[in-house]
Amino acid sequence: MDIFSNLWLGASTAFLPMNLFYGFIGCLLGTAIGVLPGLGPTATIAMLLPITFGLPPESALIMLAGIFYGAQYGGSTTAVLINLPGESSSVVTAIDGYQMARNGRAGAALATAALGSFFAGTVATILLAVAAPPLASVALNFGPAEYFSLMVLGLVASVALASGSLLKAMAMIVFGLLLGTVGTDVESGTPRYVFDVPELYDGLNFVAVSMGIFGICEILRNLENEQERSVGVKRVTGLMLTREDFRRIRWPVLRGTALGSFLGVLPGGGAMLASFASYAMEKRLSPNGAEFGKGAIEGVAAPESANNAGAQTSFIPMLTLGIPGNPVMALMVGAMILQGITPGPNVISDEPDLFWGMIVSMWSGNLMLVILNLPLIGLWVRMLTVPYHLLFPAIIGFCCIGAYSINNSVFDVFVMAGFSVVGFALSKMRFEPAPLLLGFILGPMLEENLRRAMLISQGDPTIFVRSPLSLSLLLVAVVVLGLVLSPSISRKREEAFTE
Amino acid sequence: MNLKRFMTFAAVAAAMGAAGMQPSRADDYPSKTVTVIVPFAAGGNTDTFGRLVAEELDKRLGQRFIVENKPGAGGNIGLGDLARSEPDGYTIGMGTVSSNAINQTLYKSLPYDKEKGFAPISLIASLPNVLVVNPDKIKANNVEELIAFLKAEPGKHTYASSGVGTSIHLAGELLSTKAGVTMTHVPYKGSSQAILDVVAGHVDMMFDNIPTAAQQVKAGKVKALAVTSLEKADLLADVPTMASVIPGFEATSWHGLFAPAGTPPEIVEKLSKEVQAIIADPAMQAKLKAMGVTPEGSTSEEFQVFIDKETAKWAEVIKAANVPLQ
Amino acid sequence: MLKIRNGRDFVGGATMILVGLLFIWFGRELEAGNSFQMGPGYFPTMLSLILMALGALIIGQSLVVEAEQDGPETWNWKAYGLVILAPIGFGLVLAGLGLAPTMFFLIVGVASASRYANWRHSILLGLFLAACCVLLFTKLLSLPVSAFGPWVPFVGGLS
Repeated sequence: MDIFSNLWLGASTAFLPMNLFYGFIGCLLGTAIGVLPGLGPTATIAMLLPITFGLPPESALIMLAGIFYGAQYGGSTTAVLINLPGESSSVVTAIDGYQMARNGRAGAALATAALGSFFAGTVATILLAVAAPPLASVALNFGPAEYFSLMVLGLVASVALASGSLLKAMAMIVFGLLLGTVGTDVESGTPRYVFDVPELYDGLNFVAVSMGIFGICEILRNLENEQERSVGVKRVTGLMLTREDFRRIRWPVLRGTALGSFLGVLPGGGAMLASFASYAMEKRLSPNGAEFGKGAIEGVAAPESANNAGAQTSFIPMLTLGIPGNPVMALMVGAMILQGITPGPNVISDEPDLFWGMIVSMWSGNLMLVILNLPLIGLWVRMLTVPYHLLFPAIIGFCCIGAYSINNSVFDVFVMAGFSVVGFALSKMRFEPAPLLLGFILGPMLEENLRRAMLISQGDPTIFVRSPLSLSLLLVAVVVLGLVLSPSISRKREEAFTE
Repeated sequence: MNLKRFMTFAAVAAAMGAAGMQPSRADDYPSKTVTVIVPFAAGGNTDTFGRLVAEELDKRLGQRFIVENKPGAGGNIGLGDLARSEPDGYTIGMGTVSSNAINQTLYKSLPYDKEKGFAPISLIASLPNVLVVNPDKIKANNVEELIAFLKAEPGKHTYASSGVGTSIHLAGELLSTKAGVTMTHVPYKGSSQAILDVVAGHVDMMFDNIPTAAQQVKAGKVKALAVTSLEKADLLADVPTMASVIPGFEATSWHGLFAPAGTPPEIVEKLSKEVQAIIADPAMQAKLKAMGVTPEGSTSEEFQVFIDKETAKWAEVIKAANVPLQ
Repeated sequence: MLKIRNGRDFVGGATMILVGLLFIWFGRELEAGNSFQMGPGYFPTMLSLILMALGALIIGQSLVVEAEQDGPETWNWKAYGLVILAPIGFGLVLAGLGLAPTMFFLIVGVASASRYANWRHSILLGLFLAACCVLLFTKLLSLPVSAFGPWVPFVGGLS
């Protein structure tokens, strides 16, 4: 089997006018729903599923995949423009992207996100074509113990997300982890902190919490200083990237892509880790590390590339093993089953045009997204010139509907309102929200895998060091922790001396 | 409902009460949009069946049947909404073995009246589960060997499930109680992560829904020992049933359509007939069978009997296995 | 006697201790188990203790390290009240009024939180967004919420 003949086969499927058309529709829809807060790709794909019954399988899947990565693009747009990460993967983009927007560089931030994502998408697609089966076996090596160690590493790395006090960042992570324990305990089925509210049995919803703590809270902060900035951002300068920008994002994009491609393969949260692990890594490695959190372009380039690369490679477990790694993939499996194709280890050999067609369509889809998004940047940026007193009511309105649409329930709207108060109180005490959200995302996975590993090992904790993979992840975590703590300790010492 | 219609409704209700009879509203039913509540997230099995049936009802009855997902708390939130909605046939909902037979025992409190329950319309489809084992971890070629193997090393082996109290988990508990073996239960959130860990050998075995598991079996990643339906499954025709070894062992994941309690029987009847006809349609039969699903279809009475039997069966398993109540 | 050098951090640390205590209190009935057989209460209790320790460290730091100079805090209670209550009002009346009126009242109400608000603009914006939302969410995306709910006379409740 020759890779080029395979890609040729894929191209001959993906570039059929009809498939290009459905791919385009998918990308367009995905971008649109990504921009609307709350309404995620999962809900959209589910609603469109019946429409795909009448389409040939390739077209149906190409369209659904388009929605998925279109939403990844769209989600970062709101993160940058109005500090509203609609997807867990764009939480990190909001940190520096929104600061860039405030400095009048929204255009550059969005362009970086689009170009970085395109580059990452291209590389990840090639990787998918060349090495899908071996990468899938990596996913199989990750059992509960390995996931636990990976999550520990992720948490340690996330301390680096904070630009202020290390202690406060750690407190926020732990607070986030605690919020993640709300809901039914997976292992025993015991409800925790639900206060007999049935809606809480499945835990707090990420999108509702994130909209409250980022989006609405940001409006509160803007309104209290309104006399200083009625427009919210400085004058917009330059939509495109300068030569200097390109020089700065080159390495972050490459490293983000590599990290994202690898972590994306892991089902169950790998892609989520990718975006902020790469942010944390850049903050360490970049010569402009001090600028992070204040609008560093690297802080947008790295997580966006990582996130898009991860989104592409998250197809690997689904396509090669037939096992969906996230809810969107589960829906894709559902779509395939309805089309009479049961995804499984045999799909590559049984349905080569479908398999290779989808891979090539991922690349063409990413190309379409760039073509679609670059001209849109001007439009988005113009949105910021709308006077703030007209913009913020609209944002609140869309957040409310978005929160409602998560489960078609007003409960999530109340959760959002509640967390806007929490977020606001925290920001008054100078706690940063990003580590809290990451703790919230990782908490349940950390606990589940810890307890699952202990169950499997019959209560023997050496399971975490017996597996070489788990052991090396833990060792890396220790090293990272040392790196994170050392400068701050020495800084503290300096401060103590100057006193 | 606006005031005028409320008054009309109240008048009709009063007249009904006075006359002690139900008006025949089935003839012009449905005269407006019908909402179909799916108490699980979009994209799952229940949602798929709900949407398939809603689409056909739409075509046959000439009114829109809109699917509304109300996920949460193992289906309890959506069913609570269904129970609270007007029993006029314009809100109906999907229910499953978990939400309508297991939760009755598993949850200490439900957001609706357990005794009153629902008016069952028709069973739609059932999915048999299949017992799959990781061939490197479990040296057994059939259920008898498995039981012997587990008895030799009690408590040493693990089985995965898609969550505490799911039909997949309780199938495992049923095996433990009926065969007298002890295994460690390892719950996951959803079955895909669980089957992955069985394929990879982190967990030894699990009961899984047939469509996804069948592919792993065909690719030789896991070994199928038995199916949990009383009859063999089309997708795995050479796999024996559990019942052939442990008589009466049945653990299927079924999905059906319900109306709120108190819905006029004529309307329930009418919907039941339509649903049965939809499922009997050869194209629908073919579509469901290709998914590895057994098409069902039943009258309201048959469905009620079935639910009562299932509720009693699972209550016993939950009690015997000491599953903590939620 | 120690002097509080950073009041904000002092309050922040105390809040974290309070949060930890709240989680321990409300989770008091959860079985903790032990490190080998963890119960549902083990993880939350551990985390609460860690959070309280971190809170104590933050307090400690606030007594030693001087606060960085910040601009004076400004408070705008009217804006906070409106922006926080708006989603709650939205949730309460959505089912009754339907999307269009709810959206209109939300926009007009919340817009008055801004000192640049102007009734004419707010009403126009409210009408425009209400129309957009109905078109987008009830027509195109068929969200299960009607444009006009049962509380609205004449047109309400029809679908």
